[in-house]
Amino acid sequence: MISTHGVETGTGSAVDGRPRLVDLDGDGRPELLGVNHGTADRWPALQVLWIKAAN
Amino acid sequence: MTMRRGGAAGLAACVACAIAAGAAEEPRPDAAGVRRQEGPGWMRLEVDVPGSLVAFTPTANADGSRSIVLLVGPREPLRPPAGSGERETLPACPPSPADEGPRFSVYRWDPARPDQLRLLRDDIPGDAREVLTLDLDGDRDEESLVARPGELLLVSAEARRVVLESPALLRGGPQLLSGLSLGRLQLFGPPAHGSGLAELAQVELPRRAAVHGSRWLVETRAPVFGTTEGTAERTTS
Repeated sequence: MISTHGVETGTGSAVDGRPRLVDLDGDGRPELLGVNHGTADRWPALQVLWIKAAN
Repeated sequence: MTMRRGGAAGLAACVACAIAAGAAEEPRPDAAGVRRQEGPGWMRLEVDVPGSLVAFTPTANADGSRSIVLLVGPREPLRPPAGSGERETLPACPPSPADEGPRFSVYRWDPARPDQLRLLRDDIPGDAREVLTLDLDGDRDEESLVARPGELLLVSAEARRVVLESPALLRGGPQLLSGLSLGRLQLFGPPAHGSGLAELAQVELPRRAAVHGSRWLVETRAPVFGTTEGTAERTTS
């Protein structure tokens, strides 16, 4: 099991209900993208999780 | 549905013009709230979006890095937290799909500058539902496209242009897939009947496009403006 460290990836959390894996920094390791849709007192937010390479 | 040949060639020229016009993209910066959390082996960023997040997609830059393009709905005022003593009010009205209604915005977020959301445009019609990115001119820097019912818009900080008109676009919901093959842009979406995907449109892309002074040059696989070599020159007004 892989922890998402708070990035919301369940149904309905991403805009279209799907989490996305994208290599944003070009290091060959994908980052995890999710969405927090916000609440009445908080803006929605784009979430990005970097898993650092093990030494 | 496949576009007529003449229409496809005309659209190819239109795409090329729009690409040339938007080549020097210099978006306006907009401050973004960013929260960062780190733990052993991981880091999480949360980038505030100033409105409702309608759609987003990663986009490739010419240097090999990636950014994210976001389609954002109107900004609605935040309500105070419960128990703060402020009186509760009714939520804002939903956006109208008409052109005269609230406008959507397109932002670009670059991981190298996480505290900036760059505003590309704030005049996107309020019925837009999908954003996609494609390298239409082969320079490895992907262009941003927004789909709304009946139209596909090419958007940059400088311009917003319709590059495709098709009543089949966004039929039945916000689903749109695209593909580039053999110099053609193909768009797929829900079919008129049944389930699955159907080809909605096919656009011949230019092989080469360039601007020389006051003229632009477009070279396509299919002839445009009646020339036989597939090359056309035209002086801009």
